[in-house]
Amino acid sequence: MRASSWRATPALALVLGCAACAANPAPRGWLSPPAQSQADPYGAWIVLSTSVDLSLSGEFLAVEDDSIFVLLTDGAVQGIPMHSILQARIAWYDSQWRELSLWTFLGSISTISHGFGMILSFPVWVIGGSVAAGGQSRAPLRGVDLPSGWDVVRPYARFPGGLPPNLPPTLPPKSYR
Amino acid sequence: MRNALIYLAVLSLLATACVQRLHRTVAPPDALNTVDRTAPFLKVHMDDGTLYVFSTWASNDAEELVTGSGTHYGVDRQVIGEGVFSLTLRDIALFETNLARPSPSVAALAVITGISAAVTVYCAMNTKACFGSCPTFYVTDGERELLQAEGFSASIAPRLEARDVDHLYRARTHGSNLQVHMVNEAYETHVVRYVNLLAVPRAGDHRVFQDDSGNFWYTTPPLAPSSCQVPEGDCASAVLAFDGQERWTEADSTDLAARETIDLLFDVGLEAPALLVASRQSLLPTYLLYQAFAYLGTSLGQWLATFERADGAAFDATRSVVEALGGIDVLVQGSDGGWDTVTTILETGPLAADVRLVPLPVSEGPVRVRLSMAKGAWRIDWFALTSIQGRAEPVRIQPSDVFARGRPAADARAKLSNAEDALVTFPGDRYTIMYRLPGDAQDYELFLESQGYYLEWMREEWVAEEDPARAAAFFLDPAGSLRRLAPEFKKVEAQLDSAFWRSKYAGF
Repeated sequence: MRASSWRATPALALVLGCAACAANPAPRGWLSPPAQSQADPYGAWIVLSTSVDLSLSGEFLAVEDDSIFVLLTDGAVQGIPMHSILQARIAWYDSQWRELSLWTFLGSISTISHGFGMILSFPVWVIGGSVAAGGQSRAPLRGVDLPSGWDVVRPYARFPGGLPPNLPPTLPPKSYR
Repeated sequence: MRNALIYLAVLSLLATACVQRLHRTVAPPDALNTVDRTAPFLKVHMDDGTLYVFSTWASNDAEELVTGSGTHYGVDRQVIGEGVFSLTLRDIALFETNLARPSPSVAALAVITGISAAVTVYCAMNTKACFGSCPTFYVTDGERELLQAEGFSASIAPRLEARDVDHLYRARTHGSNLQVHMVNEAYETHVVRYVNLLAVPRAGDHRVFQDDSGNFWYTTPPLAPSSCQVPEGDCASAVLAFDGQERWTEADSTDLAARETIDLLFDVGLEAPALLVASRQSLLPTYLLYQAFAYLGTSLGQWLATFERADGAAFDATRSVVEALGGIDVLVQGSDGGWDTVTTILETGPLAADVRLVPLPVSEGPVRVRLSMAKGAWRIDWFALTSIQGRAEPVRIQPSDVFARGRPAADARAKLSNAEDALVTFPGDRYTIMYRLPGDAQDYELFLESQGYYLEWMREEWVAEEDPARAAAFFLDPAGSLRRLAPEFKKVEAQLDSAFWRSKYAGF
């Protein structure tokens, strides 16, 4: 490895360490880490592609026979006909995969102390770390196998038992930092 | 680096504790007995859309009641109340539990961290075994690129810039072009003044060797010793050929300068006898050099500056350490039965063995030679006896082309061809130097002539051992230091070789 590529090692480790990670679609801070999510009263974050709107996202409220209900960021409860949905994906907690990426990054850098052994240990860190961070990043994500796969994600809605009667047309959105 | 390791350790601990995965289970009201009671919270979703989150709870099957302590949320998820609540099963839509468990990703990274940290600690504990090399030169032996020479190993400062000539004894190549790979494989800065090829036309089966004065000699085919006696027995098989199989012993456990002898017998009488010795240093001198750097610590730069200002005392102090360890003394038996010193071989460097020719006094009958050297300081690859036939004159050949990682490097070639200039290389730099011979390479005995110096990069771990008093003792009382360091060296001696080669910054 040349001196110039030696200097590029941290950047390479950072890029490769994050390469296999899936982005969480929820706004940053909207989802809680696992420990806090155990008592969180809200539903998951859902992202939908429909034949009407290109993309629509918000809190996942409920699954009904022919519609999906989403609480938009402006507080409006929006029903979306199932037949118009082209793609759907939810995220239900913050996986904290960035901590694992940082761990991988620092571990990769530490292989500089391995001398010639870095030729082996650096790729082990980058590959092992990116696989681990990638797996962690995907853990809270669920895709919906359309058109009939909604039962899989129903437990992650605010109302997993279905939309309650007399639900107001607007609700206060979840506050987050 | 130390900071990175501390951050890594802290982050590993935090991540192990914090990075988790969540597992959610839901159950209908009539399946209350299937709810995971180890979950820290029970969420009770009501038919009316409200939600109870209980931190403690109990069920009464007979009365179909669930009683718990926690928070009641409305459909808008605003808190309605906190306290103890009793709920009837018929009003409940479903139960939900969530369990946060350690992530398997953390386990995988923890394993990698453990192994990686072990390697780091191993390297940190064996810092005197870190690869140090000066420029290494690889030339094909007909099958693979073989490390055949190391340039100016003793030149660890500008003032010590020196010319070095290494025999490319095992070079095997066809045609009139020779390719030499020059690599910087250590944490060092190399300043290479020139790298030339010295080619001596072969005459029949006469090979050509260089003596300590730098003269080249045609010789008769080498003869193997009929006996090679060392304290542990016969070593003839190990020194029969220049093949990488070496004779070596461990250092003395009480005094690193303690010497041993090797007695050679050549059962022939020759007209102009000369001993051929292929040898390299062990890692003991490297260890001592790095130990000296460690004792000097942050004052190493000042010491080197003093050295550069031509302070005679500093120069002599350095030489005294080298002299205390000594070289390979070559002795022959005199007529009175005593042993007389012929010369001392001081080929520096632990990487590539080099061949030296030592002219011996003419004697009738068998030739007896004794070699005396510090135990564990030298690796002997080959002993042979030959007869000098006449002086040889080499042809000096400058590089015809230089390539850096496969691309022409005219600038590097220009620097290597101009004695006023120098090529500076850094860890990982690699150059392929081409030479055009007057004829087929097989018709020439080849030597590599290089000149320059190199600067070791100070390692953070070494500074931790800074000790001016021991540094002073090291130079003022080298013999005593070699005794004091013996136990320390013996602790790492067994792993020194493998740790050294493993710690190369870049491999060829």
